Amino acid sequence: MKRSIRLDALYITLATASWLLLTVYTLQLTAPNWAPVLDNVFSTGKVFVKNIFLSGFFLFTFLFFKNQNKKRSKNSIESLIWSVITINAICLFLHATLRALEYFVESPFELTLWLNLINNSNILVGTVFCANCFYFFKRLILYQKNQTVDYVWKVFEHMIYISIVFTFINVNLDQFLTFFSLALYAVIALFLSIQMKWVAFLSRNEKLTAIVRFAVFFFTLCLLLQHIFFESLRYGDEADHLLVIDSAHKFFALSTFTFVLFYCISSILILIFNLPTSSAFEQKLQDNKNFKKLSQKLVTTGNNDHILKTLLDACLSSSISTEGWIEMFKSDAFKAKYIREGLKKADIVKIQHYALGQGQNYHLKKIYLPSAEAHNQEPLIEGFDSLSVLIQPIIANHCVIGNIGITRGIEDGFDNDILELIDSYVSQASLTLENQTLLQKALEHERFLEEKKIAHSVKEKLLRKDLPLGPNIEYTLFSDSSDHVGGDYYDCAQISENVHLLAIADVSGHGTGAAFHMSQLKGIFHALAVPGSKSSDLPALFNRTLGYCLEKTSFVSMSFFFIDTAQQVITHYRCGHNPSFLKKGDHVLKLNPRGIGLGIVKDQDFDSLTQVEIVHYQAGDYLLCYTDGMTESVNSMGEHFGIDRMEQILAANRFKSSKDLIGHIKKSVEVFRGVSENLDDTTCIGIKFL
Amino acid sequence: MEVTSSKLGDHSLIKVLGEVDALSAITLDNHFKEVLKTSKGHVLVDCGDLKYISSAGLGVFMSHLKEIENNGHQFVIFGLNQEVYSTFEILGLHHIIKIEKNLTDALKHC
Repeated sequence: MKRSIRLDALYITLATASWLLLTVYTLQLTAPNWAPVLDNVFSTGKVFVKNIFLSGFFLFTFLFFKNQNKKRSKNSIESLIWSVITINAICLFLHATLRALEYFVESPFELTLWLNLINNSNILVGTVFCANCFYFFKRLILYQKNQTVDYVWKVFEHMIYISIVFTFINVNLDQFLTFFSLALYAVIALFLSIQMKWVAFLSRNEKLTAIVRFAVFFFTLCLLLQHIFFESLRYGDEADHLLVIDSAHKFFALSTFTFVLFYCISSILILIFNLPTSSAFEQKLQDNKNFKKLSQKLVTTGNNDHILKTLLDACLSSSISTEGWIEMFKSDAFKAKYIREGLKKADIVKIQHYALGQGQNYHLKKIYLPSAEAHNQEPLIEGFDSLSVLIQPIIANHCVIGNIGITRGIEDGFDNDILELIDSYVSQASLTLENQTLLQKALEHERFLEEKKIAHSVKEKLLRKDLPLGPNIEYTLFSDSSDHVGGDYYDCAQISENVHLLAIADVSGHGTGAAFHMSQLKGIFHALAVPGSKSSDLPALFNRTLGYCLEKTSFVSMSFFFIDTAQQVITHYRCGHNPSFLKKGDHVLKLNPRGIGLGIVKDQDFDSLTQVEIVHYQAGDYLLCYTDGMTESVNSMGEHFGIDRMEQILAANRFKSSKDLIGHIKKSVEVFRGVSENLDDTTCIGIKFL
Repeated sequence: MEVTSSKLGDHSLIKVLGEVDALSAITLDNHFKEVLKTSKGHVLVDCGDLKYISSAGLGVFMSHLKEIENNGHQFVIFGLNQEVYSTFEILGLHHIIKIEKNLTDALKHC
C-alpha cells in the first residue's frame, strides 16, 4: 500500500515535471529573439530534448493511471465509475475552457507563445483523458476474461507503451509503414472492442445510464480529436509550423485515440442493441437468486411453512405469474392446508377437478394444460379468458405430500425452460423438506441416546451388585436395562441381628425422570431401613416420605421382604408391586396381600389399605420376586407373558439352585418374547433358602 | 391414543382409546384439564377401547382424582378389559378409584 502510494507520488511528480519542462522548453523555443523558428524547431538536438520531455510525459501519465488501476483491481467496476467520470468531466471542462480562451480571448502576449501554451495544455488534457479511458476500458475488457483476451490485452498494452518510443519521429498517415502499423493496432483494438461481457450483467436502467456516460466520453473524444488532428494541422500548415509539438503526427496519440474511439463506438452500439434483451437476462438473474434462496432455507430455517412459501414465490416469479397455490395433505409434518396467491380456494378446487376430469392425475406426475377451458368454451375461472395450468406433485420421502399449481391468463403460457425450472425448484424444496425430517429425527435420536447414557450411568451407580441377606441364603440376581429405560430398583439392608430387608421396586416413568426418582428412593431407603427400625412401620414411613418427594402424578410400586433367618419367617408387604411367589416343594404360594403403591394416598388411608402377609419357609424353599418388565414382556402377537405363566413355570419345574431358577425364568421370557424388543427394565431375584 | 369428551347432562364423559404411553399421557392430561375447567358434574371415563396404560397414564388418573373428589364429585372408570383392570388392581388403585363394568353401573354413582 505504502509502496503504491509512493509510486503514485513518483509518477505524478515525474509526469508533472515532464510537462512543465516540456512547456518551458516549448515556450523558450518560441521566444521572439529566437529566429528562424523553422530551423531551430527542426534542429536535431532541440527536437530530441523536446521529444524526451514529451515521451516522459506520456509514459508517466499512463504509468500513473496503470498504478491507480492496479491499486483498485479488487474494487468493483461500479465503485470506479465515479472517479472515471469525474476525470472525464474535468478534461472536458478544461478543454472547453482552452477552446474558449483560444477563440474568444485576446492573446495577452505574443500569439505563437499563447497558441503553444494552449496547445501544450490540450496535450495534457488529451493525454490524461486517453489514459483515464484506456485503463477504465481495460477493466471492462477483462471482465470475465478468458486466456485469449488476457493475452491479447497484454500484447496490446505493451504495443501502446512501445509506441511512445516513436514519439521521437513525426509520422504521417501517407507513409505506408505508418499506415500499416496503425492498421495493425486498429485490428487488435477492434478485437478488444467486442469484449463486452459486462453489458449482459447490467439491468435495463443501468444500460441506459451507461449509454449516456459513453456518449459523454465520445463527445469529449470527438472534441479532442477535432482539435488535435484538424486545428493543430491547420495552424501547423498555415502558420509555418507555429506549434512546437505536433501531436497529430505522433504515433502514440494516433494509436491510443484509435483504441478509445473504437471502444466508445462499440460500447454505445452494443448497449443500444442489447436494450431489448435486458428483461430476459434480468429474469435469469432473478431465477438464480430464487434458487439460492431455496437452498439457503435448507440451512437456516426449521420452519416447513417458510420453505413452501419460498417455493411458491420462486415459481410465480420465474413464470411471471401472480396466481398459484400449494396444497399440502395431512402428514406428520403438515396439517392439511392451502397456501394461495391470487386465487380463491374454490377456483383452485375447480382447476384441480378439471385436470382430473381430463384424465390428468397430478398426484402421480407433473401435468401441463396449455389451454384449460370449461365446457362450451366458457372460461374456467372468472376473469380469465384463457388459462394455462401447470400442476406438479410435491414428493418427500417417497410420499406425495401435496401439489403445487401455477396458472397464467394466456394460452400456452409456459415454455420448456420454465417447466424445467419449476421442476428444479420443486425438487429442491422436496429435498429441503426431506432434510428437515431427517434433521428432526437425528436430533431426537441424539436426545434419546444422551438420555439413555445418563440414565444408564445413574443406574449403574445406584443398583448394587450383591444382596447380603444373612446366612443360609443363596441368591441370584438378574437385572437388565432396556433401551427405553424404565425404573427398576432393588436393595437390601440389615434391620436387626437376624432380620434383613430385601426390597424390590419399580419407579413410575422412564428415562432421566425415572433415574432421578430412583436416586431419591435409594436415599430414602438407606435413611429409613437402618438397624433398629421397626419393620411394621417402614412401609408407612416410605409412603409418607415419597408422598412429599414425588410429583402428584408419580408413584413407586414396592415389595418389602423382612427375612428373619433365625425364625425362618418372611414378613411381606406388597405396596402396589407384582405378587411374588414362594415355592415350597411342589406347591407354589402366591404372595398377594392387599396393598397400594407408595406416594399415592396419605397415611391413614395407606394403613387401612396395606395388609401384612407372614409366611414360614424351610430349607429348599425358593422365593421369587420380579418387576413387571418380566410379566409385561410381549411377543410378536402382542400377548403378555403374564403372572400366571410365571406361576406355572415355578409349579411345573424343580430347581437345583437359585441360579437354575432364574436361568429358567429368564429363558422362558426370552423364548416367549422372541425377536420382539424389550421395552422395559427387567429384574428378577431368586432366593434359595438353605 | 385417541381421547374424546362429551356431556351426559351435567356430567362429563371422557373416552380413551388405544394405548396410553409416556408421550400420549401428556395429551391425556391436557384433555383432562380442559374438561375439568368447565365440568359441573361427575366425571366418567370410558375405557372400553383402552388396550394398555403405562405408569404415566395411571399417574394422570391419580392426579385428577383428588381434584374431582375435592369438588364433591365422583370419578368413575368403566369398561376396563381384564389386563388393564389387573394393572389397576395390582397397584391398588381399585381401592381409591371407582371401577365399574359398564356405563349403566357407572351412572349409579352419579
